[in-house]
Amino acid sequence: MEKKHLFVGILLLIFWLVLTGNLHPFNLLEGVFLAALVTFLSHVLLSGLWEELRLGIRGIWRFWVCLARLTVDIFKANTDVGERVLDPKLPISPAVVKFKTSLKGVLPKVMLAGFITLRPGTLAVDFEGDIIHVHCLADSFAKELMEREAEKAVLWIFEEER
Amino acid sequence: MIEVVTNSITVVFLSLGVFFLSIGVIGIIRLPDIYSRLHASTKCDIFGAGLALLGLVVYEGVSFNALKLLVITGLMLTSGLVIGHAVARAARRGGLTPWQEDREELIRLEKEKLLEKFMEEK
Repeated sequence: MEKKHLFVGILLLIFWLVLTGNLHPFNLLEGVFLAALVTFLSHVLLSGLWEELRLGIRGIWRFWVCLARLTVDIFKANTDVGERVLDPKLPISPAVVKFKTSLKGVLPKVMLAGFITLRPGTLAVDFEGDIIHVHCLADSFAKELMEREAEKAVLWIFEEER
Repeated sequence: MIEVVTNSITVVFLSLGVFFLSIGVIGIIRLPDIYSRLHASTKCDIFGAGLALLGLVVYEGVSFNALKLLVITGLMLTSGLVIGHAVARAARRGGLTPWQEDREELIRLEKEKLLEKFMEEK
């Protein structure tokens, strides 16, 4: 029982209270029990990866700013998929490209994969060390990917951390 | 009066959400292989469901249920991304090669040859 376990447990309890939405004693007891159980079950994750998963307050704020900016890209991605899918000729020419990233650490890589998947026409398939295999719906998206917009965004989020 | 405005915003959001969800479904049916199908399913599912949930947030107004819906939206976003990545990774490590146009042509020619051979034997 360390500080981090307590922190995660309290976070889970707050999450439980938001989702159930009442402060009845039995409900509270249930929440405490479940939070303790989930904290116990995620023991492996907490002991091994805890240091990697940290993000400062500025980082969290910047993450939300990035997500708001990404909304435009998400909309573009969806309209693009829609255009291709609803076209009778189905104009796709898929390709798998390798993308070498300079990011270190687990959380930045996870975020990068998420951003790549949300941007138009690209899908992060697999990680092999520093190399991400990215599936592109058309060649033009591969070129866009190599401009490294997603990586720049992640670098900006983690700027203050190092 | 305010109710009319919020209700119409809700209707717009919900119908956009349903539109993008249906694009996702059509994509899953029409696209050729698992990777390109994942393009349709992850992106359109996240965006469509997110829009629908945001529409419901507008409908609820400022209340506890709206907070719940926002939490669920965040959960959908992260879990959708992770599931898409997990499926793609499992497919790649299981040895599925991505569909390509010229490869499809080759397979078609190969099939025709086999068919001719079969007819000759008969």
